[in-house]
Amino acid sequence: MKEVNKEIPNKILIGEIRNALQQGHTATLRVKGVSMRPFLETLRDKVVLAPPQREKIQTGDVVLAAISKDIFVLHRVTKREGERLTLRGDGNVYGTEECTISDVIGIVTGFYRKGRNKPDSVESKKWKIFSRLWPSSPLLRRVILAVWRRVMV
Amino acid sequence: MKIKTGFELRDVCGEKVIIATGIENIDFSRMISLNESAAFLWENIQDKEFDAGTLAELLLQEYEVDKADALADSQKLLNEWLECGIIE
Repeated sequence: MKEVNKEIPNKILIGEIRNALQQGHTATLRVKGVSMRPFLETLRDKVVLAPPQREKIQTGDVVLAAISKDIFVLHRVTKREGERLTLRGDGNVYGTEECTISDVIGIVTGFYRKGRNKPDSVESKKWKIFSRLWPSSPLLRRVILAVWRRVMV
Repeated sequence: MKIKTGFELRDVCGEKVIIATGIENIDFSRMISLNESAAFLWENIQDKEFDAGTLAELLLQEYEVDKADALADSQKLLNEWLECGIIE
């Protein structure tokens, strides 16, 4: 008997999460990958996802979305034009993704960081301040993330 | 012993896994996989009080094993489940 978190392919896991959200549940998911650094750390932190109210998705929201068949990202919405969204991981210097609001599987409503038992809400001051201060400039991101990797990881 | 409320056996990709399922939230961050015999036991102890003896009895009914092995395996499994926090 073992914990299997890492062994279940994303495609399957996300399918299960999609079902749970469609049934009106929220879902807790462990973060995999470094694209949401520095706030969310791979394998350490967890996010709480809620069923998306697609019409209300706006810039600054963090969403789980399918950017192409079986490719999923948990990234921040950086632009919305009608139904089209541009996504970008906080920890990504250049890369962005495009999708539509119908590709959004869930919207992040809270975070479990650093092994804490209680989630921080996306409505919390900490998250709002971080979201406002985190630069979009590739150069600044590159510098901050490089320092972050040396100091924190 | 009994199964803690909210832990559900599901079939994910052909794998039997235990997932914490609340009324609101389902926790996919921690899934515990069960092999075939452990899943069989889990399905047969729903809403029941059990101990290693109960599990061993079930194993003896379903599989061709000797009693000592069944009991030893049951005790080991029980300890693992306790450690995982899915029974109390």
